[in-house]
Amino acid sequence: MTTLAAAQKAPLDSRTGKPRRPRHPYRAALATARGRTGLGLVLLVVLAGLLAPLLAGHGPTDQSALALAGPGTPGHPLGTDDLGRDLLARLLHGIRADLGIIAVAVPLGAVLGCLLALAAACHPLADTVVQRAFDLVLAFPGLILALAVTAILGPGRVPVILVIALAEIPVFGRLLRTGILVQRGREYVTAARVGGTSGGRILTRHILPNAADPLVVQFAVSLTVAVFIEGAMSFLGVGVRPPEPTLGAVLSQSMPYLAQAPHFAAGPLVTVTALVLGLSLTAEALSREIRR
Amino acid sequence: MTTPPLLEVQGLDVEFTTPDGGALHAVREVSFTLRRGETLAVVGESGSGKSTTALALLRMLPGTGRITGGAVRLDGQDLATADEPALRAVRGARVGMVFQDPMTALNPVLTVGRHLDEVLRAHGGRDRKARRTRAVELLALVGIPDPERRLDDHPHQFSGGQRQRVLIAMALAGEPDILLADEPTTALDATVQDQILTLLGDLTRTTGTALVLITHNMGVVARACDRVLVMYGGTVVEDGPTAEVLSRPRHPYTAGLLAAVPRLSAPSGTRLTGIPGTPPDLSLPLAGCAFAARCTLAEARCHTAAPTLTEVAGTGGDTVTGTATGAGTGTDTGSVRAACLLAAERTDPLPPPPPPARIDRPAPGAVVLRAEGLRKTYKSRRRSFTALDHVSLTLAAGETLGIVGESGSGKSTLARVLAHAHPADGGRILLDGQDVTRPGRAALHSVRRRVQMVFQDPYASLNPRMTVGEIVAEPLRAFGTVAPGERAERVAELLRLVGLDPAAADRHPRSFSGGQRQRVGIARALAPEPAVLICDEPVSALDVSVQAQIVGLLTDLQRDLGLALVFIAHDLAVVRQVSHRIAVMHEGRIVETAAADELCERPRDPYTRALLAAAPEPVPVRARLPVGAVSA
Repeated sequence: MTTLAAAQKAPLDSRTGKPRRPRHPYRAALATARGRTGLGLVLLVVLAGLLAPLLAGHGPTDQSALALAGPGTPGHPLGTDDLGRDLLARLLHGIRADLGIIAVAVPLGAVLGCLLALAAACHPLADTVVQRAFDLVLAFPGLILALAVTAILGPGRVPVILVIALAEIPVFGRLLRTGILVQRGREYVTAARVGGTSGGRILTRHILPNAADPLVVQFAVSLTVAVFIEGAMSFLGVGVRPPEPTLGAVLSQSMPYLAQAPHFAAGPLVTVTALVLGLSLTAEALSREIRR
Repeated sequence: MTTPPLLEVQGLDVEFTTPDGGALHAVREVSFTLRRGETLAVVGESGSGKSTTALALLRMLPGTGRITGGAVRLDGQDLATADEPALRAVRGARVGMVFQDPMTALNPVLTVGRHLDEVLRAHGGRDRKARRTRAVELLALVGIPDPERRLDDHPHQFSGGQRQRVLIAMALAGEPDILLADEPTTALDATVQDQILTLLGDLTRTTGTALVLITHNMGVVARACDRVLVMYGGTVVEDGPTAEVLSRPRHPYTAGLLAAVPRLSAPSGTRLTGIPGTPPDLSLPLAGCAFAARCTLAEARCHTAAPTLTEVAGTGGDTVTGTATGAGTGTDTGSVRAACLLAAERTDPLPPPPPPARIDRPAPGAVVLRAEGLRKTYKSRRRSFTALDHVSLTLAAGETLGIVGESGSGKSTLARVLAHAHPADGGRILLDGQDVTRPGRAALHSVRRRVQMVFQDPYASLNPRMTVGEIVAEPLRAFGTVAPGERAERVAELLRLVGLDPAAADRHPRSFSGGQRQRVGIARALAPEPAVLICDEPVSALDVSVQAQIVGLLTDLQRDLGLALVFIAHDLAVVRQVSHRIAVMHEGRIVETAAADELCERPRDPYTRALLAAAPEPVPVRARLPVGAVSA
């Protein structure tokens, strides 16, 4: 056969007429309405946290003579709490503290989980050990785990990070293990093996890139879960130590005044909602684009 | 016959929305009629719109598909505009459907009796006893032995062919006027395919149900249907009685498709004929004839003026009564309609396809690969399955050894064991006289350089995350045969060797068609300059017009590079044409090995005879020669 089968032409861009490079699915996902809204919400909250010292105008623990002032009080746009501290400052610094925790805890859990999954993929014995360890962690309800860890380490920032990471390890580990097992049975992996490619390279170059998509989605989902765990731990008083503000701590503090000063609770509630909604929308957009 | 047609499709248009918002015009202006009791085949290659047309009839289009024009009239009722309740009343009750894959179409946790019971109840089945009696009748009708007892069995207790029978029984439960079968035998072995086609033929005769059979296989058309509708690029290109269309095609595409089907009667060493080029991109607007770009007879006007389906001179009326088939011998079913500007004017038949060329191949040389008493058993906790049972073979340089067998015969396992993708449990593999059955790490690496493999599924065997260039360069990197700086050059050389544009190196596999992907797979296998190439069903996922290109490429490469080929396939006709020798596998054993022509003309083993008899040939049933009688 001598016909030269020409490669199909890349689709042409309707405006420029130049060959259009197919966009990476993640970028395509974030360009959808859903992805943009999600990313916008997340960026808004993250920016508020990062710029907290510039935006707040007060220190998060500075007290004034006004206690439980309503929103719109001069100098305190969101009002003050029961101890006369500026609510805007506490909210912004609370976001900052929260972000600091989840930005460390979730990647830590993800990395450890993935490393364990890789170890499990290498040998059946390691697989059994790792799987049973995951079962053990998953068997504890999250809050019991949180209470157990703080019972040993005491409350504080580090135990919160540890609890979140510990809760995420089996989630990521299981997901990656499944991905590796599925991809390992695919024909292109056999083809690579017959083609002489070494085991390590097959894992890093062939299996992992194809198993990574669900991990990216899970990462966004786990960030939401982490916001909840942090909030719940601070709310129960086993999280970051007062007077340092976190979203959960501010919320917990506002509870007794819910009837007389609802604005007290509104700030952290709205923020957590925006952050969780933003992350969920991003995760949803990513997973829709990947599943296509 | 003056009765109005049972089903009348007029100017049907179907569009899909692509992910980037464009429109894909999958079916364009399709019109046909179906009479009571008629058997109609819709034949075409992938992307021709045949399945989409069938699904559109019942408005069961998947995803973004929608009917954008035309009418589907069933006894005068337009289904294209009917509301959902009206459609539900038609689905199953008036039109029954049989799907392609009998392995996944039955719910594994329900018994076969429950499946039938549900359908009967949906169609207003009265009391339970009556439904059960009817279910037993239906199973008996489709030829399941001991139906009363089998009713309480689960799908996994039935074979593939029996499951397809159960699905046919379910489709017949509502006593439909039309049975719509979408590739009902594609997932089945040739011998089982034969039984199912016989069953469908018998059922339409005894129950008077009309049959619409969608298939890509011209042999199935010849075997099962009175009339055939040939589709290409979403349009109907030819419509007429099967015997007439198969023996005297009026449209160049039909003629090309028929010529591309490998014939079991063609001797070893015959080059397959293909249709050059690729099918049209359906997302682009179509000017003129869809086939014009690939047509050897095309004139300038073919590219601009769209042909309509018109009756071809000299075929109407009584001229074909001699060959007309049993049912539906009306005057207008006897005529052939073709969508070709030239066919409408032409009075002589199409020029016959050029006589098939011979493959000029040198005589095989010394033996490179020898297997002795290979054994392979797959063990699970409950039972073990013997995939290879004392298989022995030899392969010489420049020789093609064809391996044929049905699914589960162990041919893919043999390929993987020979390519050292799976270890053998017993026996010996000798490469160039050296025992390489259980090679060490270094020895395995050098064996892999010499023995390479081409895989069946061109979609699954290429890593979707790598570019074509990276895929082809992977073995170069692994074996270190080429300095890193020269890899790009070697990749370009390999791509040219398999007939691809070297610019393809930067693109991902998803932007290529099946045939082009298979070329990439071949380039990858050739990268380490192997002596033996093991091809595991390299063409069974491809259309016939593309199949010839890939088979031709493999034989040319063999001639130029002196490769020894193991060519595994289930289609005896292809295997005969490309192979020097053929080995027939059955239940893990090689039951017969002989020179290709010898085996096809004088089969010794009864199983080989059964395979030969079941092979569907695209020849009208009456004109068919007995097996073994070869026309020159």
